[in-house]
Amino acid sequence: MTAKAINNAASDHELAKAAAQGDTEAFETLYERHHRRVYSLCLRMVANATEAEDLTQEVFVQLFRKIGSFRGESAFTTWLHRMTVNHVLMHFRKRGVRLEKTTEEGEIGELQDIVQSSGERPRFIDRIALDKAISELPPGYRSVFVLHDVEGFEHEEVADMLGVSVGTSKSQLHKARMRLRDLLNKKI
Amino acid sequence: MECRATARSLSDYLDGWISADEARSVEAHLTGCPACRSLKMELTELKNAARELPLHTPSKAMWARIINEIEADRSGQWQPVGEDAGEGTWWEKFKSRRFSFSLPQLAGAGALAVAVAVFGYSSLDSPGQTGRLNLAGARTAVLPDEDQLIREFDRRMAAINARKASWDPQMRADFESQMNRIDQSLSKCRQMLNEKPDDKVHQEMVRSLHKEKIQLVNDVERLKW
Ligand SMILES: [Zn+2]
Repeated sequence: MTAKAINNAASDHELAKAAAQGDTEAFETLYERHHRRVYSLCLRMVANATEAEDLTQEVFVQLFRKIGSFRGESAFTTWLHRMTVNHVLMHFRKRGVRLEKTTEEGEIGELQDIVQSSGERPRFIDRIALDKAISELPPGYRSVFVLHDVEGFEHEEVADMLGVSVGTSKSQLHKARMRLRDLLNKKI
Repeated sequence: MECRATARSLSDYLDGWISADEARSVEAHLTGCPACRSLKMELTELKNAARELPLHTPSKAMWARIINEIEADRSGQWQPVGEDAGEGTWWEKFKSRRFSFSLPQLAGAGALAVAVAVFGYSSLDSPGQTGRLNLAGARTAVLPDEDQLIREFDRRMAAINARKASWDPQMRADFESQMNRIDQSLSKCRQMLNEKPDDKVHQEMVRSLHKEKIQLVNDVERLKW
């Protein structure tokens, strides 16, 4: 078996151990496996391809430096995604992006939104359109939605990462969903 | 329960965050209100769609950039050796120094054939040309920030050239052959870029080669030759 084939058969944890010993081929296999998820996460959080590329690069460089501290207690993916989120949030902080408040109009119209609903038929949501709509959310809503609904973090984790209360995380999520629904409806 | 309150509770309801009592009153309202039922369906579908979003792919040059930085990091680990370890040790490392990116890394960026073309070209002749970008077309910038890189390099190189005559001849020859290797790769990259100006991998290689030159100059300045 070639080194590449061996790497492809190895678990993330095994590859991480090899990478921690300086094996860059093992690290490359980890990159191949995970870079699209990491990049997509960055892209959805910052809504800008150039920034997302820079962040992804920084995350993997940092990953190589820190990979020795991965002990395999959680899944590698969870560990990596948390590192990615922390890195993106640090980037927000450096750039002065405030997440605890939404910068646009405070409350989302509620009643009229319901009335504007069109019948009870289940509607297929175009994934591409949803992806685009997410990029149009204000950063605070966007972060909560991406972390909770896209990445599957629990509210406690989201609140912890964003430095807000669980209540805020929940209400931001609801507002984000309502706003997305509006954005998607407008496009139909 | 009215529509407004129901709408506000719907996300918590769908995520299982409300008490059984509250859930019952939401459900009671939904039974009699088609608009809120529709909203509930839309939010459910939204939640499901969010878990099935397409993945995005970064540019092909990403891995080359990452591995360059990692390798630069690692070579940084032996640079501080300097005086303590004695010049001999440092000198051995200086002489055996490789470019900060290697073939397998470039293969990862999908450019193996190109890399072989560039690095297979490793004749180390004409040491006298060091530091001058020797090809006529070589001064045309292929990167937006390259003019600045070249100016910075030239400024420091001028100072080094002024005192190079007093160096030990072996040191001078080694330094010059290092610099030549980089320059040769640089002109190869430029030729490639003249044909394909948007080639990200080659742009990255040009950037790395410039870094490599600056690094070499750093080394020399640190030693106060
Ligand atoms: Zn209602």
